Amino acid sequence: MSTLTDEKPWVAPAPVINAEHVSMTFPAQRALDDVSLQIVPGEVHALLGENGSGKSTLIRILSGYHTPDPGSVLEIQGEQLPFGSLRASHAAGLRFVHQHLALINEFNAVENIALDSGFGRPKWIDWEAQAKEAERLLARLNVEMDIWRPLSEARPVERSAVAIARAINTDSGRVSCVVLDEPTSRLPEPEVEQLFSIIHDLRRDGIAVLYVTHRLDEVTAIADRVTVLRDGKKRGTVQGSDIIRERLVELIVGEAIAKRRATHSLRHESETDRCLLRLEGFSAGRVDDVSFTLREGEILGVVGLAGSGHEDIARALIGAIPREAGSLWVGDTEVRSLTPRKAVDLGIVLALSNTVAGSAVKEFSVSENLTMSSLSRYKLRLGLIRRRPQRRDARKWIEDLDVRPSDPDATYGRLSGGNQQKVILGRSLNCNPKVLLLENPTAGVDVGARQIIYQRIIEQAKSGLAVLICATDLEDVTSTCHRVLVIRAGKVVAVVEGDYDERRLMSLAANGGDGDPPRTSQEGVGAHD
Amino acid sequence: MTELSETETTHREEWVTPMTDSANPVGKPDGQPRTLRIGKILAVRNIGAIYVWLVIVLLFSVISGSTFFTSDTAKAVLNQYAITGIVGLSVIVPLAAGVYDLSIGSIMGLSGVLAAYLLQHTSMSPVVVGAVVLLLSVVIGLANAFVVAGLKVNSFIATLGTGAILTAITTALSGGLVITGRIGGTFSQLATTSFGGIQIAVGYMLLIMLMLGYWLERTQSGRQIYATGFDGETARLTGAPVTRIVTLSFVTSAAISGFAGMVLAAQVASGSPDVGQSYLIPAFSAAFLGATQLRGGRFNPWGTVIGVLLLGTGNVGLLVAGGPTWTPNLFVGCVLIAAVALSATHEGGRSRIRRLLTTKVGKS
Repeated sequence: MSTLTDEKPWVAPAPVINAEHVSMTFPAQRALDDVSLQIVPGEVHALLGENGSGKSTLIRILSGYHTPDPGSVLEIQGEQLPFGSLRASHAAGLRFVHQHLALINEFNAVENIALDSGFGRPKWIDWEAQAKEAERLLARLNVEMDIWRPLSEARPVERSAVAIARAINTDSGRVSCVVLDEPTSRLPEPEVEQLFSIIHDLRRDGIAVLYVTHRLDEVTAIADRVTVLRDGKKRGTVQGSDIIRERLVELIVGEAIAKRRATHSLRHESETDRCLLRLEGFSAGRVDDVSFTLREGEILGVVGLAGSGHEDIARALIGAIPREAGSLWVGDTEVRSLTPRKAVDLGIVLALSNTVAGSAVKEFSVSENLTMSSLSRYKLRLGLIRRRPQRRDARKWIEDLDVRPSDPDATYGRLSGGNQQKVILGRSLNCNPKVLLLENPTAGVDVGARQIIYQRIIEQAKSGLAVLICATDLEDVTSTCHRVLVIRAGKVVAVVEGDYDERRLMSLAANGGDGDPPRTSQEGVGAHD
Repeated sequence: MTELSETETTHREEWVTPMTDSANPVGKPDGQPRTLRIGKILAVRNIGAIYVWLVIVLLFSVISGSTFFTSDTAKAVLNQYAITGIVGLSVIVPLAAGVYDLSIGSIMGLSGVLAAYLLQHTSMSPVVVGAVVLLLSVVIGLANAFVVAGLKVNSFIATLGTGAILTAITTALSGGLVITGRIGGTFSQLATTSFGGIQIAVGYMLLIMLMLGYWLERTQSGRQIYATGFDGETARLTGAPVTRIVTLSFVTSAAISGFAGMVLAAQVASGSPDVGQSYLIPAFSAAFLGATQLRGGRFNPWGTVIGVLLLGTGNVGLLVAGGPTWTPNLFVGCVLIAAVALSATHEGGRSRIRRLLTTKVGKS
């Protein structure tokens, strides 16, 4: 068993996966272009890249879903992997834990793990044996959880643990490499650490982990080596102390963009004094007795750990979550009852993350989504709506936000996450709002789209829009906000202004005080020895 | 080697961003060459039903020869299926809004019987009778909306229930008998007026098709109906009056099917309590088949009328060819399943129908 440390120079053991000159050409595009990659036992190898960089294609080739171009070489533990066969990939010991985990939430852990191993040999299911097996697998990951409870009641990280336990179930053959596809996309922040300790346990057992993500902070935290893809090409593999944020950003987006980003300070500080939104003793959902004001031209951040209630503020401010107490002023008038409809009339618009339900209509075209909440502007006699100005506005936003493809008739559901998010932002801005409420505006969004979104938010604020950003990803706030509210257990525990960084916000959100180390979870999962 | 891959990357970028070349003066509309657009319009997945319809016409022309391929057959299809078309159009509005209205058959029965009853037992003029029946249909639509949006009952179950209640009322009103008195006069002109052998009901169907088409595609409330049906939560959060939209869709389907019930009563010169139910399956078949046509997975009036013509031509053709009387039902059943299976392979349509079959709709 080989372990990797930062001090020793890295000596390559025989790789589990040896991919050489792997290319994949689709009818209209080259998804992968001459990519070579080695993954060794007991390493966490991160595969990093923007949406559309070729990460998914590479995984699908490994899983036997796609057949690569002739000339591609793919060896698993020294043996050539037959292409295009799911069975062969499984037999070679490759296991995949997909982003959506593929679990049945109404089933408990035992049933979910048993699903994959075919419930054992005999005709009648021996539930006791199945339970022991589930316990053994979860114990191997150092996870303690109630295996008889339906997964719908389990914590997100426990669900991930069950999916990983199922993947490493050796009943179905030896396991050489576990591929984790965006494993943290559904995990709240405090549980990410626990997932990491599960991954450490896998590594300790000599299993190679291919960790696919576009989140840099995770890569710097967990990866032994990082391979970066961009436009289907490998841009480099970095390891050990070379895994630095700036270097990775450069590889992901290309040097040109990285440099522009470095010289362009996004933090915005100009605002007038006109108050557009004022809350006093406001309670709704998990939000508990919150007071603040939002001024014209201001970008106010609201952060907190997942579950702290900070996400509820945006929804509560359009009346989507009923208010329980407190008062709300819009401009100088007090608003006593609020519904999403009334909020739109008042100029308060909500833009959700493209990853959650209720953010946009997947079946609608880009143009229909862009104009759907501002249709009354295009009204003609008899209630008919004019199409030409609608299309013109749609094109304007597509160009302004660089939505790709730039076809207004493209189906929204087929766009990548970043482009979906741009459409959601465009739809909100097309209402000419006074107050824009954003909830996790860059979840599932790649680095390039992120920059465009930040820039547009700042531009709009400079021209007078008041923006409220409720974010779990602190980069959203540090890139745009001058003032940040930190929420813990539904209450504002700190207001940070001017010079601050992510570390400070994180420690405030975790403990409510400066300087202390972040609270660690006391719950059963991930007690690392 | 390097050069080769460089050019391929460039090629790919061009493919991803067609907008860059459509920005030049010779730009093509919507970044697509004209031939591609026409190809898209004529594609099987866009107007497949029209091709199937042509095949059916060709098939029966070969089988039955001169007895099928005549203007009389065409008129028969139109006249006999105009009411099916009207009922089919009535269901697309609730379907587009994401709810089922299964009570339309019962509404047809009730409106026909009520019209006949009022004509027989009161001295109301046919015009007043028509207005009263339409008003009652609107009230029924409001009741459906109340059960679905107010009591939060799944629309499938809710309208199955209200349908049964309406059938009971109809039977009580008619005593289970067919009412025929005084319906043959002025009232029957509602259906029997014809122009060159084509009955006025065909005109009703086309008029309703045009009205619904403009409403759904070119008005704010129409767009909100689709938004609500596709994604009720998004519609709500972006400020659409979801409850009002669901109510509007039930009122529309009730009013149109109530109207269809009257036209039917006028056509057969009697108010019959159980005649409406036989229109339910053909109406839904046409609506689902229509959803696979022209608008990529959306319920739409144009596709629905195409669907009705396809059903009508098939059924009339089967009968002309000497098929037994059970063949039309067989044909309709096959078309319904084929239409839903087709829309399941249609992107958008799949999730659309899955949602219709699984979710509780009418959340406010």
